[in-house]
Formats: sequence, C-alpha cells, structure tokens
Amino acid sequence: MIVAAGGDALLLAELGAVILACGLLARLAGHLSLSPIPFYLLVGLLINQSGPLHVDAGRDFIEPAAAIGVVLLLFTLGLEYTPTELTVGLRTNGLGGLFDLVANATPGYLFGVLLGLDAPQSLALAGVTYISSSGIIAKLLGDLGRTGNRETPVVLSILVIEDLVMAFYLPLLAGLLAGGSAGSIVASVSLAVAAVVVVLLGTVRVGPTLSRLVFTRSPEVLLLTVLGLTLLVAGAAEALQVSAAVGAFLVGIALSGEAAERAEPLLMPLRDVFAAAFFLLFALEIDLGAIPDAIGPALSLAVLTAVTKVATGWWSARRAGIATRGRWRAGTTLIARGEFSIVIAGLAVLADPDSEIGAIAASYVLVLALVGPLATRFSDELVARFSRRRQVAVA
Amino acid sequence: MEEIRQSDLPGVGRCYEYATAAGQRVGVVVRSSGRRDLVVYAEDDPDAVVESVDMSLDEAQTLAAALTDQPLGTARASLAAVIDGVAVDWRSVPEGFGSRTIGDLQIRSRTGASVVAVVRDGEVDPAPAPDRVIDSRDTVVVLGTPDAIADVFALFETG
Repeated sequence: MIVAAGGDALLLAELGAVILACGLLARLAGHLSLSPIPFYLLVGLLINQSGPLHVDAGRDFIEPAAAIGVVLLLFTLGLEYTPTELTVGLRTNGLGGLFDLVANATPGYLFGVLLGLDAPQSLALAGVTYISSSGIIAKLLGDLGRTGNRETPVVLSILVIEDLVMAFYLPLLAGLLAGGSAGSIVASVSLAVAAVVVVLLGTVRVGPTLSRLVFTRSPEVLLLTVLGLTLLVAGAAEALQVSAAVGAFLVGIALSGEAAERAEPLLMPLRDVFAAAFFLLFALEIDLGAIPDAIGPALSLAVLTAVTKVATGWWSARRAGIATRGRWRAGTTLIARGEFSIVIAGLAVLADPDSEIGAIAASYVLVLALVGPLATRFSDELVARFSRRRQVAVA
Repeated sequence: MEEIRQSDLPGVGRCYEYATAAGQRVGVVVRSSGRRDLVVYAEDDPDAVVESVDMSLDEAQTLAAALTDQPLGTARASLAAVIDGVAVDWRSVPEGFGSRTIGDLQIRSRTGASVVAVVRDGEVDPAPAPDRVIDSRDTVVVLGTPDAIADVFALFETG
C-alpha cells in the first residue's frame, strides 16, 4: 500500500507539473491572443525522452487520455453544426471547397512523394496541409470582431466543407494506413460513407428523439450520458474500422436542440484537458533527432500552403462579391492549421512509429498555428501599405 | 433602401445586413445562443465591421420596439387582442426564470390559461407539448382571460 501510494505521489506530482506548465503557457498564449496548441506541442517536445527536461509524466494516464482527446475534439466539432448547416456550406460554396481541397491537399501529397513516403503516408500529409483549424479560426473571428464581416460566411462555409470532407477522408486514410486488402479497405470506407450519409439524412428525423432521450436537467447525469454514448459509438466505429474520430463526429452531429446546448458547456472543459493530453502525447512520441531534417520540408510546405490557403479564401471571397481587403482577410484567416492536422498526423504515426510525418507535422503546425493568426490580424495594414507603395510606384 | 441580405454562419447562426439609402451599411448577427450583435460596417471597407454591440434577446426586442416606435415594457400589454373576454398575449421569459417544461409549471391547472405557441429565434412552435422546455430565449404566447394571462406571466417571475 505504501509503495503504491509512493508511486501515486510521483505520478500525481509529475502529471501536475506538466499540466501546470501547459496551463501557464496557455495563459501566456491567451495574453498574446495566440492559440495554445503550439505551446502544448512545445511542452511535449521539452519533456520528450530525448528532450532537455525529460519527465515521465504518467504515460499510463496520457495514452488513453490522448485517445479520448481525439474523440472529444471531433465530438465537439460535430456538436457545433446541424446537418442543415453542413449541407448549406456545400450548396453556397461548393466550388470554393473544391478549390480548397485541390490547392491545399496536392502540395502535401507531392511533398510526401518527394520525401519518399509511401502512398498512405503521403495521403496523410495531404490531409495535414488541407485542413484549416476551425478551433483557431472560430476563436480568431470572435477575438477580432469579424463575426459580422461580410467575408465571414465565406470563411465558415469553407471550414464546414473541410469538416464534412474529413468525415469521408478519415476512414479512407485509416483503412489505407492499416494496409488491409483492397477489399477490406473498400468495405470499411463504404461502411463509413453509409454511416455519414445515414446520420446526415436521419438526424433530421431521429435527432430530436435521440436528444430528448439523452436530455436531463442534471448536469452530472447529462455529462455522463453524453460522454459514455460518445465513447461507446467511437469505440464501435473503431472496431468496424470506420475510425473512432468519425464515430464521435457523427454523434455530435446527431445530438441537437436542448441536449446539445446543455452538453456543450459541460464537455468543453473536459475536451480541453484531454485534447491537451493528445497534443502532449503527439509531441512526446516524436523522435527529436528527426526534427532538424524535418524543419526544411515543414517550412517550405508551410510557406507554400499558406499561399494556397490565401488563394482559396481570396478567390472564394471574390466570387461572393467581397472587396479587396475582405478577400485578403478571408485568405489570411484560413492559413491557421492546428488540431485536425495533428489528429491526421497522429493516425499516420500510430500506423508507422518511424514515420517522419510526426516531426514534419509538429513543426508545420507550430509555424502555421502562430503565423496564421498574426497574418490575418495585420492583413488590413499589410494590404494598405502594399497598395500605397504600388500607388507611389505608379505615380 | 437596398434589399436585406441574409447569410448563414455555420456554427454561429445567421447574419442580416443592408445599406441605407445614404449608403451606411448595418447588420445584425443572430447567434444560435439567442444573443444578438448589432453591427455597423466601415465606410471605406464595405465588408468590415467597425462597431459591434452585443445584446441579449430582451435588449434586442427593446431596441426593435424603439426603432419602430412601439410601446415599451408594461404598456405593450395593450397590444393583446381581447375577444369576448378571451385574450391572447405574449411575453419573453425573464432571465432569472431558469428552464422548466410547460408540464412542470402546470400552467393550465394553476391559471386556467394555455400556452398556445412558443417562439425562439424567430422559429414558432405552434403546438408546444407539455415536455417543451422554456427558458429566457423564448417568447411565450398565452390564451385565456386577461386575469389568467397575468397569472401566467406572474408564474414566470416567481417560478
């Protein structure tokens, strides 16, 4: 008993120190109006076993916590949207979504091929560069008071389409990474597609009933019910090779109304804790020796796909009749990559622990999660300065 | 006046905006949480918000009434239609009410009046069931004698 208590004391102290470090850095990030994600990754790199401040930080806790973190990230994402909102995005800005997919996934895939990664790993890198961080961007739009801006519907419609694409992409990637036979990959992807379509179409009818069944006025009961249901569906989806993340996303979409509104504030703090564990574990798994080699490709990829994101937003905003400065704001807003790039890279690393993709994705997200918000914050000033200089040049 | 433009903000709500004849552009963000932002767009950048006022639903209704010069507060009760002693009146649920179902409140047995509709975010529930939860985002439409209706509104204040 005493020995066990001693072990617990160390576990608690190490875990506490790491979580406290994350908390302090997240506070700093908040003061600087930056996303905390790069800071969590930095903590993970520092306490990495080849890192300068190696701490064993309760791996037995962090590993399952990280898996729950991914599930909750996708669940709360699904909770944000109603099925109608998902389809509205496709209807109003389908072309912008297609531009986004082609312009931002292609560089990732080609880089993967150039770096000698196999096809599934390259496809994972395509996902890393394709998906913007809806978490960072939603917060950014609020912080900068741009929710009512006329280019904002364009930005949000692109994010919604990306999230919808993820629902089909994740099972495909999971199947390819698992390296099953063509038949089993086709089977799991078809199952995932069928599940997504059924949930999207069925939620309108079944959603209110499900939400009524789940709803209760006790926060405690609601929290346990929703959390249990989400983990159960995520586990079942994983067992069926559809990917736990997609299962969780679909539960989030299916829950609506009163139950969703009450569950969201209860689950958000839980998501923040477990997602932090996920970012930590991702950084802990990285071989620090691979970082120097990864920085070159990661930086080039960051520059290239920052430009392609700006092009995506600029073009979509122009199609929506937005003027110059708004086009640049829409473009720069989309640069930020974050949680979902790490989720995708995490799948690739899980399938092949020696993959360089972990180090590349970490460096890539570190750069773009910080540069993206800064670029869009100063977008108006940059455009003004640039157009003034051009006028001077013309004169 | 140019036509009002409505756009969807997935995950946030909706946005309405238009330009006045004088060219000033104003808008309203309707959040699915029930809150409203009254926004004013920049003169030199038609797409950027320069001023934003965050309001609760009640505050927004007060502003809407003021803009159209309608009677405010208690005086608004005179808008209620009275036909042979039966009246219809509506009121938004006060902030302090919390949330309860119509069945829990036992509105009909305690007051004799009936809730005939609940309006939330512009969406009308024309036949609310007893398990319908109401809270401060709702406007409740009540049918009954004027006294019974007053009792219902008192219930919202006292629970």
